[in-house]
Amino acid sequence: MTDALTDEALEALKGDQAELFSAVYRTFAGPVLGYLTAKGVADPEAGMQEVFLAVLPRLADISGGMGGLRTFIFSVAHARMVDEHRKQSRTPEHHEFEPERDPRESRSAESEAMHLMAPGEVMELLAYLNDDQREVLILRIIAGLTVEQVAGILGKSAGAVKQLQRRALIVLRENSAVKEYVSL
Amino acid sequence: MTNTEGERSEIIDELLVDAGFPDDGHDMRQTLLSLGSLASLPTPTPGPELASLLAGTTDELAKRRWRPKHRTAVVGVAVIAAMGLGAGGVAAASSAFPRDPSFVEKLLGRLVPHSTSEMPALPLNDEPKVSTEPAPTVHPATVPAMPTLPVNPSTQRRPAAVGGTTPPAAQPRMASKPGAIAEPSKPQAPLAPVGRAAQSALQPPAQELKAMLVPKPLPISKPDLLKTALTPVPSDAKDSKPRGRP
Repeated sequence: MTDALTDEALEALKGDQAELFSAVYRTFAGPVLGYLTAKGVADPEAGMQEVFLAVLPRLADISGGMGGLRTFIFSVAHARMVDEHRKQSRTPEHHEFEPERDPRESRSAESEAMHLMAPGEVMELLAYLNDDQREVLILRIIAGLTVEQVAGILGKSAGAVKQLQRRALIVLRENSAVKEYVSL
Repeated sequence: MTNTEGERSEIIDELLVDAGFPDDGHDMRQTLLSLGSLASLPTPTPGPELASLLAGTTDELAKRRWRPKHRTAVVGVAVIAAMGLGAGGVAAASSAFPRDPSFVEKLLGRLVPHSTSEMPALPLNDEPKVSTEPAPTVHPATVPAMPTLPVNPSTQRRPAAVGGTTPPAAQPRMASKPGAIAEPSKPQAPLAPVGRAAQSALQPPAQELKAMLVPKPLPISKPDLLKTALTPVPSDAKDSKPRGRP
């Protein structure tokens, strides 16, 4: 669960640096960790901490309220993810995500109530998407960014982002149907 | 469900509408909600560095992180400043140069006229210098008396032939007259330049010496003449010089 941080709360916390840092961390630590996990980063927790080590000292320079802050945080997370993937491509030894060894595999009570898939199943579905489709879908749903914000981070037009997310949903629907058919 | 998750649900609805799946049923929405649940992962405990940052102690950390990132820029600015100081110093040191253009004219003017106009006169001035040393002993009046001396030319011709190696002290006193010893049959011919050179060397010695002491530029076309003028003349050169220039 994350605490909600509004524009007004963000403005009110600008005088208290420690409180501002803590609020930003509580708000965005989960989404950043989920983003890096969904992108297959080898050590998402360490990557998340690096993101906040880079972001928090520069909070005073950020403008645009919560939207600007969210865009900035995930821009840094995206850059870290790209660096991590480049590092992994250079070093042959890396650790794949193993759902059976993930302690977060068990569904929460809320997920059980909403009939959500386990994170491992979500990762399997994301594997059917290409890089751009996966990136758009993760930034839209996990990071909670708008189409324009995603376009700004990826350096694409808003139309291209909409097209990518549409194709991603088509791929997910096809593969979800296949999985349900196989499971039956 | 928090506000963030409510916003996520709205984003999913908007995304389904944009993609043309408004009535796609429950499955696609559940799939996207499952994907969104990754954002609700439990927040891990911050590491020591991040914990100190969250506690508000950012000064030393910011300085530590600032230094390596900006080291290149700081070094670059220092190098540029040093180059600027150097260029400014050179410009300040040579500031009188463009203000006085006659300096260049003086510099060039000292070279060009001497190398062109005074070139023919220099060999004449140099020539007496070679033969100034024997000049007091050589006089045109003594030349005709030389053939009358009872000196055997055959015996005296040998030291003259090896004059370059024989020391002058070993020769007879009269042998120091080069014209009489080298060529007794033609005494006037070699003595003419020697006599003229001796006169010109004796009459204006102060002027020529003064002219030599003035630091004029050297003639570039004939540096060997000036070299011979400046080098001390060996004692046996007075014998070979008249023969080399008949």
